[in-house]
Amino acid sequence: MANCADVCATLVNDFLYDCNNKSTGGIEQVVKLVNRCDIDISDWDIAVSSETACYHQIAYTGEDPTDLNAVKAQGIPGKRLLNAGFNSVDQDYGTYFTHFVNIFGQGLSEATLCNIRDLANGADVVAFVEQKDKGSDGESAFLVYGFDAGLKLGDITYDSNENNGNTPLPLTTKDDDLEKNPPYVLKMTDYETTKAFFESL
Amino acid sequence: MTRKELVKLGSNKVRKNSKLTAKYVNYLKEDAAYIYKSGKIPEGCFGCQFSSHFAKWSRYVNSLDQEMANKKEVTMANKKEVTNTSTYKLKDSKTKIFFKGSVLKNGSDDKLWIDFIKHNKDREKARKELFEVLPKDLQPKNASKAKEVKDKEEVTTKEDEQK
Repeated sequence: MANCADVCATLVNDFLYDCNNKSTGGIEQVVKLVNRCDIDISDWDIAVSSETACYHQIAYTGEDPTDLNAVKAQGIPGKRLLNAGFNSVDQDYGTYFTHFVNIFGQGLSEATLCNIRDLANGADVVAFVEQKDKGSDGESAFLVYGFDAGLKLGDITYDSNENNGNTPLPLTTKDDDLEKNPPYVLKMTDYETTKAFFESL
Repeated sequence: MTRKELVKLGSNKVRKNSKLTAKYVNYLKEDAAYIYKSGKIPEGCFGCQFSSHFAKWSRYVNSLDQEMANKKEVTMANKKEVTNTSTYKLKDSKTKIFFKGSVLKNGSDDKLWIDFIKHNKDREKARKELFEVLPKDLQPKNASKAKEVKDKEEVTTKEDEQK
């Protein structure tokens, strides 16, 4: 039997059911996308640990979120056109993750085509997502997808007879460039502060 | 063991040790009046909501520390005179902006908003657009003088009309 001191990680959190806080699916229909090249790693504090308590969070320590030049992707309120998730991928050297965030472009406008072209030309992004399920006190409301490896353009098909003429745009982790962790929880002091950060992007 | 020490140990460690759990529950009962609207620990499966209760209690304990720190700061600042002014009017009073680690909102000090507005020259104009009335120090002096003159003129005209 391996000694716990010799392994990288141990499970320390119970999986408990909170009777008063049932989970809900879905995400709020606004996602903020930041070009990975605008991320200055010294402006971020990543806390990933399982030693005494489990941490899996990220916080912005920079001054002004506007410096991140975020782009807003908006869905239709009340619909589930934007969604996000991740899959685990077994590799020879460990288990990695594929993150994905699905957005869409309204119609086939010039702006949509420009975005598709830029993504096809190598733009990769980090997505900030607000979950509908925010935790009992808003502590896990926001998730960050693609922080370590970036989300790139997935396979797209446009058909003028499909999707009411809109263009679904899948953003996803690509093979050989997998994420080493599941999405980080974005957490700054409390929900109000984290929400203000998200809104200020 | 103090409240602060229990908070530092974290919910999982406290839960796994019956003595620590008992201590925590005693503290939680004492503090419930400040944490829950009902003034007591909500009924229901306590174990199922252990982490959630612990998180709320931790925040309360940490806020006590913050309160003490604030009191100290205010006491220190009293000697130098506290100056918290808000002379502006936001177009949307619900506006909340994250800037330099804190949230700027309606009622925040003028100085914080001015720092935000002037942080980047390219964005200054757009940021001023958030305000119906700018913080006093950013209001154009000529404009305010002109307004004063105009107001005086209006008063004089009204007085003349009454005569």
